[in-house]
Amino acid sequence: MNRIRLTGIGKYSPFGAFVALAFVPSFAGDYYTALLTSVLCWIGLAVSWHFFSGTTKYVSLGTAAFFGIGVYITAIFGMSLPFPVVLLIAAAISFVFAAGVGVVALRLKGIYFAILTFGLAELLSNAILFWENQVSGTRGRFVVSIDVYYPILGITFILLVVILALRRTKLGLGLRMIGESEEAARHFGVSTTLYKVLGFATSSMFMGLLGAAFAPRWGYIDSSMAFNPLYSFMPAIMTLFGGAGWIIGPIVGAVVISLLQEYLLTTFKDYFMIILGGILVIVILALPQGMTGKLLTRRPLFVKRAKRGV
Amino acid sequence: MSAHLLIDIVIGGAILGAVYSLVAVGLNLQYGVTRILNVAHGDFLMIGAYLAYFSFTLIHLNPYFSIIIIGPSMFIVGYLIYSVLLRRMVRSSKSGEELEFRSLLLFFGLSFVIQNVALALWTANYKSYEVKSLGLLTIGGVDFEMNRIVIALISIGINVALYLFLRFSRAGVAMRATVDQPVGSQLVGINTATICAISFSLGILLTAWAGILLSIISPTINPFMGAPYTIIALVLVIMAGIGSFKGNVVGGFVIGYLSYITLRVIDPSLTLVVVYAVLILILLIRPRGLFAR
Amino acid sequence: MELLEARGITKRFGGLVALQDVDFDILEGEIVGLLGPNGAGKTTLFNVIAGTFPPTSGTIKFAGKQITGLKPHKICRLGIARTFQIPKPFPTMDVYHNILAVSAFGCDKNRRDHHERRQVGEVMEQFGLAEKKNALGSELAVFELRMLEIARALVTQPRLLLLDEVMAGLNPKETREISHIVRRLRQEGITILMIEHNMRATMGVSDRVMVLDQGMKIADGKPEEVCKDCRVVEAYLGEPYVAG
Repeated sequence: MNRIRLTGIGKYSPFGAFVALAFVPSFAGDYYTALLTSVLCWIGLAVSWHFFSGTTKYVSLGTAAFFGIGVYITAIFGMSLPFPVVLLIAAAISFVFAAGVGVVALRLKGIYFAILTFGLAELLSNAILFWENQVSGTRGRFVVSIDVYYPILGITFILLVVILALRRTKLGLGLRMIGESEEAARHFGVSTTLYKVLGFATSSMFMGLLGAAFAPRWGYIDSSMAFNPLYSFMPAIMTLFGGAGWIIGPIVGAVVISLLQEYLLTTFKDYFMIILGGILVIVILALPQGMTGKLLTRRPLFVKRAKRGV
Repeated sequence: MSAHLLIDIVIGGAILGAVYSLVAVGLNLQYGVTRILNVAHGDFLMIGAYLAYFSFTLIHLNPYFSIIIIGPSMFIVGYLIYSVLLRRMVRSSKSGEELEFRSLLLFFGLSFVIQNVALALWTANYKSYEVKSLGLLTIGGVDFEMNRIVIALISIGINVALYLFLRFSRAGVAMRATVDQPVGSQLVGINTATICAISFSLGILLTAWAGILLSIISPTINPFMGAPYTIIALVLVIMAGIGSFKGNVVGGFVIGYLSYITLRVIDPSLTLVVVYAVLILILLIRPRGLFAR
Repeated sequence: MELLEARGITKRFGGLVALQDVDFDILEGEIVGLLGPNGAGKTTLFNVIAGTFPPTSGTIKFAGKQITGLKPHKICRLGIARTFQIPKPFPTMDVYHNILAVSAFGCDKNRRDHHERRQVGEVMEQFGLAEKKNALGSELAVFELRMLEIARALVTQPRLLLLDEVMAGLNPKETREISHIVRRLRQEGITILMIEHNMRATMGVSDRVMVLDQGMKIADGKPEEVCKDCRVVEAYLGEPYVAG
């Protein structure tokens, strides 16, 4: 895996980018702000997904479950509690729920984990539908209406910083070792189950946070919207598309595919999902290594390729 | 509990169990032999259901005959999918892990495509059709629609036929060998590439048959009807242990009874929750599945 | 001092009995060879000691402490390290980081104070991996992989090192180098239990040799004695070869 080191001015470009992004709503119109919100949200989801599933090779197909939990927390509490509190609740519940699922599912082989997470979103969707019928008698809920851009920008920024930091800790290293050779890692002192559960819970916590922050964008939600399997599929395909560069990969993939999605949605309306799905299927077949390799060679100014290493 | 309810559950659960076994067996076979997990499984079931629906409404073909006539075309569809999409991926993947990951995403993506094509073609409106009722069977004072019983019997019949095929035919034995020993099988002259293609196609065929049978009694044929069946099939694959035929049947009945009891006694929308909960319990006790080798 | 005490180790996999009632002691500072025909249960025994899976019955004590059934990472931290018969390097990490990563985890903080922390650079020199420090795990040749396996095991500061067929498939020069390393490690205070098929090398370097056959221990003693033991000869060569 190549590590990209930013040199000179390049080192500050991520911060610069976020500062610049903070000013966007004042210049761009509503449409572009909304678009950017989506793109940032996808970046957050893709990077969170990669933090656990990309490093340990335990493919989680349950992103939609945790995103949906976040959406529902906002729907339920958004009108009665201050937004930061709602976000904290979403983070906490996502973390705990993921830890619970992880303790059961992560002791098994990778494919069982993928299967179990795959069913999670549908499971939660059903459970919540049942609960809604009992509690409120309606299918869906109205969500508090607040501006979503800054929360999403902030959360994505924090998420990136935290994950970059975690990568350098024992947790990050341990997850990496598990992905490289779990058997060796176990025998070299890594408490693999603990680390996997922590990694999965952390990753899912961010997904829940993003869901909670994104929910107000939809004025009204029901369980099929909140737990849309698209949210499970996209982060994985974005990471695959983006390629091996460890944080650049999911970011590039998220940006490209979410913009593609937007373009197709506005151009083809009804058939966009068919075309998008078709393109992504072709991507899976044709690009096993993803795009980052090609991109890296085109930016000598700010990016210096470090010696191959961790 | 009244005797009525008990009889209802005993028979009703068995009917559901038989059908679930058929729903899952295709996936179990596919994954067992090829190690490729078809998460679009339920969508092929949906295609089967729609094929039966249109055959009935357009050319008045009785669904029981659809099985014989339309079924094989799904085998060909499966074979095409394997040849065009999967073979390339199998060859270009550098590791089993990579193949697993890419195939998961591939089928996930295909699922979206298939569902949305169906949506574009046929809309989300629920479709259903009425087959001439074969009458009622009354057991212990409880009425059961003969159609349901026939469907269950056909499901069992297909399972039996499959069992005999796997046990006694050359191709079937080759498939079982590939499940057990993918490398060893090649060494004894089994063309695993062909066996994989056949197994995959057979899996699609079996799933489409399940879809045809289910369409007879389903009032809600729609592009998204496959999702719960995918989950049930996946749950069964884990519960049964991969590649275990016996486990598939037993697991099918376990899930069938659980679902039916939940449906009748608790609440229909909680069936998936209960099934999942039981799966988690089983995984805590026997992580490799009930009948894992 | 008995570093490792194993009593009644039995391991069943379904109907197959891989290990049957195996007893042995390993004294601190010994080099013990573990021999036996293929399928005798040698690697299974290693797996039981290292915690990969627990024995069906029996107990193991390490430095007086019960370790039966402990998870591998705990056993590593207590001071038992192992190599794998089929090397398991971290494929996309280079040699330097392969070793560095393990050193971040392998050792209990308490024990680290007693020994001087081995530097990754030193270890690489010791095992001739210094020139290859930037090579990825997936790019190494057989001998380098074996060296890497031992190197990584070493940075966990083990008291007992389990070597699983490290000499397999190597040429005589490489084999001699491994023998040197084994002796040197013993001088540094590490006890060694090694599975090997290379008889000459093992007999040459071991203080003591144990032989397993079909899951049972059939011999345990000095190399010269064990060689002559008829049960051992029979196990390897078959009955016709047992001299009177």
